[in-house]
Amino acid sequence: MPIRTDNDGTNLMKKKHVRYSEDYIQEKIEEYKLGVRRLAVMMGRDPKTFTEDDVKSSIRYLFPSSLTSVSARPSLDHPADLFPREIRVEADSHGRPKNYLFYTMSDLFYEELHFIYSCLLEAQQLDDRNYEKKIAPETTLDLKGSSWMSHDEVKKMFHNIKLPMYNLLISQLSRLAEEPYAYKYKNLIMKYRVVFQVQIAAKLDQLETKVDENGREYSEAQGKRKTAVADVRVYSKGKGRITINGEEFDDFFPLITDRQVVITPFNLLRMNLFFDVDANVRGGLSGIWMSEKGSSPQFPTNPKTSQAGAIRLGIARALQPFVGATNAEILRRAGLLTQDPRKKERKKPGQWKARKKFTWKKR
Amino acid sequence: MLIFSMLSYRTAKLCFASSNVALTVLVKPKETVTLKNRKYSNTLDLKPLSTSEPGNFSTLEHFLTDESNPARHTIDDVGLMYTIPKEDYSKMVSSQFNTVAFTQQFDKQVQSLNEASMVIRQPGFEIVNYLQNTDYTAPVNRYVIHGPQGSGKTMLMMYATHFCMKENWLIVPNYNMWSWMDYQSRYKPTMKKEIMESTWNKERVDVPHRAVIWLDTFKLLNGSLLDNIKTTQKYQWSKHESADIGESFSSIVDFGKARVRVATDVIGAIMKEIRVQDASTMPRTLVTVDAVNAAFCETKLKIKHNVYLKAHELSYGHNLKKLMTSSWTNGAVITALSKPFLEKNKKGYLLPGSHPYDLLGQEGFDWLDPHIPIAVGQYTDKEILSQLAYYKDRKFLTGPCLSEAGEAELIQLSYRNPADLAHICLSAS
Amino acid sequence: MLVRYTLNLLRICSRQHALTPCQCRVFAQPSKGYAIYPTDMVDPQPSPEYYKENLPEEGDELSIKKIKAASSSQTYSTLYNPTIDKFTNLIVKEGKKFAAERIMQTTLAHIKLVQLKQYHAATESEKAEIEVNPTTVFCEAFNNMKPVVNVRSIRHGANVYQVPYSLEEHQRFFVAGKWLLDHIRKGKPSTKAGLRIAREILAAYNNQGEVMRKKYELHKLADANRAYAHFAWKRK
Repeated sequence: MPIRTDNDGTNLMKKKHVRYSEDYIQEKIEEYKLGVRRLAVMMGRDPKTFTEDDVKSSIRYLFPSSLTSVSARPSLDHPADLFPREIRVEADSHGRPKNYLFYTMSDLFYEELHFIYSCLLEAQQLDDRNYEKKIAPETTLDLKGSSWMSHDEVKKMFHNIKLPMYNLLISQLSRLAEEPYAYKYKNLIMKYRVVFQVQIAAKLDQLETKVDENGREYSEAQGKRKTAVADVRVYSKGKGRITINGEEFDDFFPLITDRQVVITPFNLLRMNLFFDVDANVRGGLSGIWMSEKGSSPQFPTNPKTSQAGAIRLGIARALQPFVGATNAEILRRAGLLTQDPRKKERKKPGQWKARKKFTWKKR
Repeated sequence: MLIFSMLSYRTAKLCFASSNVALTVLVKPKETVTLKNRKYSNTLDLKPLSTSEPGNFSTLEHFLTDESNPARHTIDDVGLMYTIPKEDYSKMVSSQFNTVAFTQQFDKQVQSLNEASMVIRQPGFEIVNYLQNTDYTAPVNRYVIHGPQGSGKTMLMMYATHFCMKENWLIVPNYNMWSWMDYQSRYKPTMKKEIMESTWNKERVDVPHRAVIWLDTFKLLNGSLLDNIKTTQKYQWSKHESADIGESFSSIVDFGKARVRVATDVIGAIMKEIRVQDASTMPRTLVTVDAVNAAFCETKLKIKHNVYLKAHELSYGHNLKKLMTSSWTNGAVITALSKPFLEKNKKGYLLPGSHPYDLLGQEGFDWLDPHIPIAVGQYTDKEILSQLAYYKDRKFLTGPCLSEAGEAELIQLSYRNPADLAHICLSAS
Repeated sequence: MLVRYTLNLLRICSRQHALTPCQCRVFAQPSKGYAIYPTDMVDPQPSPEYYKENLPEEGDELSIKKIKAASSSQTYSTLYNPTIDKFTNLIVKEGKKFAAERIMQTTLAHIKLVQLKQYHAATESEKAEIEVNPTTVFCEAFNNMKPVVNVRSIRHGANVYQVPYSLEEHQRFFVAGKWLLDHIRKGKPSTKAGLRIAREILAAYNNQGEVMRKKYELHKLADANRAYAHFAWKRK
């Protein structure tokens, strides 16, 4: 593939398989430094105190663009990030590579695998010896709060690793971690593990409670489902009363399944008659065919589940400050605090509806 | 200008003060927080209800009274259940023909439990008190029972009829006006035969098969009382058939059942006699009308294409409306509204509202104008607990519903609505 | 082929924008890349007893993971039964779940009323044997209806044999439900659907009825043809 040279350093071409030599990269670095100094002078700043963030903001100022993809916008990056270097092979004077695993094309990776296996054997020998002597291991390896790295992250460490090789690595490491003396190899194992943040139930902004004109304590939240939006207020000391858009609960939701949807947070925590709810709902109900046309008091045919789902989310979010930390975590684990992302699927050309196709004709 | 500046200074001071307060609230650490260190303000010490301990109604012992006569119920009995004895129940409901005295749900429940029992509620106690203490020489009182849908208006009417049965009144039941407004069959050839021109007055219309049912229920309820009441007028049903002066009601009713064409005229005759006669010849009468607002509506019956009949064009409706005026003495008229089934007549949408003015309209409200309104609401705590305790006693509810959490859930789901509670408990474990 | 062509086009158009199937939603194929939830997210448990027993602790497995939203049929209530919930989903037609719920309510009501009538008309000694709870009656009868094996036709040589194979739990449920509903949909619409289901279930509770007969015949067939069971292994 021919390499597209750039004369003034503007259009950069990223090709993953092309690697550039050291001399080429050094040239580009000197051009980059010149350019940064010129930029600083243009913006009226001291070039010595011109940082990378200042570079980015000044280019955004000088070349504003409204393109949606960030990587297509104009930018001035350091060449070490853009141009991948040639791989240096450690070789003899005759050209023979020093590393015995060079011809596997991923020598560091296989070296690592051999190392892990040798650690496994050592751990097993230790275990056998101390079992005869009846000595117990001092501590255990605790892997809580972390999980294995993903494929993409391991690729950064060793390039050219495919899925089966990644799976091999993880299986070998987890075999090591099962050994009772694995705590001695903690550094090796934690190198390939990512410590995750604990998923929190709520943002701290939403945990405030307010006081009504009449002196009643309440908390507010919003809930959404499909196109329905509900603003919900939950009062702390109540008798289980629910009003929606000024109407009572049983008038607004004649179907009992809708009522059960609204009440799920109370059912889960078993605090049914301790709170009052006041809600305002708008939107949803775009399915006109499910109207009140054929309905009677004994057989209501107008379900309002999207509005009920919106109110359910609002109640679950507003309940948290009254209910405590563990109960908020229980609400989260029951899935009542995540918004349902399902929307109506779009119609596609060449089909009747989202999924229904035209009749298939063999010929 | 000085005042203005003073005000602005004060408001500025307040703003500054409030902004200080706001600053202290907004500054919070934005670090990752673990479960233990998280701070929640204003937590209440709420204990969740248990699923193992029995709830309030499962330990309730006193939920049923022994008195089956509503006249002897006291204010302490309000909130408890009482049973209607089988003899009285068999007069209200019969297995031969479909009566709509109670709902279908209640009838099935009674068949399986072998018992008919109701909650005694405060408006029922009120009605019985009024009926015991009115002056029956004055014109008739009209009672209008109103309330949200499913709150127990027909059950209240049955409570009042039970009271009057025990006191040996003459009862004129008009169970469901809606049944007169619609065809019984779905097939066109039989639909045309259901209506015919009235034999009394050619401008009005008859519905003969309904009239026969009406006469059956009338006879069932009153039984032997009808032998002693005599007519004061001669009624000519047709060329060759007539009723003389001094004929008893029972003979007229039997005649009407046999001659189906003449049945609605028999009803009209009965209603006229009730209005005309005094307390000396006629016992006290109770007229119950369920779903009054149907009497002022359009029907689904039609003679021509796209010409629907109105209620006052039916001869039955015409006579009923006359009965519901306060032009006669020695009796009572109890009416109840119902959220109509016919509002989905033409376009198919249900109208909102359960206020009497919304349902009756201007015409109906003026017709019934000086009336006594009786409001029926949802269950109170005592009533709902005794109803649920009755269900538990008769093995209607078993399983996890009997715990505290199940009880609270039932109360909140049904929202204390009697009809919804019954519907949920029917299919609940 | 079509998808790859369009992806290449888009890649050329938008230079350095690497497209994955998940991001390309314009002409996405339904099975491969159109996932609403990412693969990290975990399902919630539908029973409230799970949360009573497994209280959240520090450093739990679930404290790290994101959790999907609960569907509207997951009501953590005391009236919930998983078999009945799943069975109503089989009855649904054209997305009208309120009608299916109505039918299930009438079945349970009818079962309860029939059993109560027997209960209140029986003597003291018989009362202990009669089950009044409609959900337990339904579940027991439904379990009676479930077959253990099913049969499929395999061609071996010139002949077609009915070869038996074992069923998983969800398959047994579906087969029993399908039999029930097919039998009921032949009935006349003058009787309500709920009544028809209830009658069949009350018969199955006593090991009688059309669906039980179907199950016994299938078991007999499978037992007779158990010699051909190895035909399935060769093909696979």
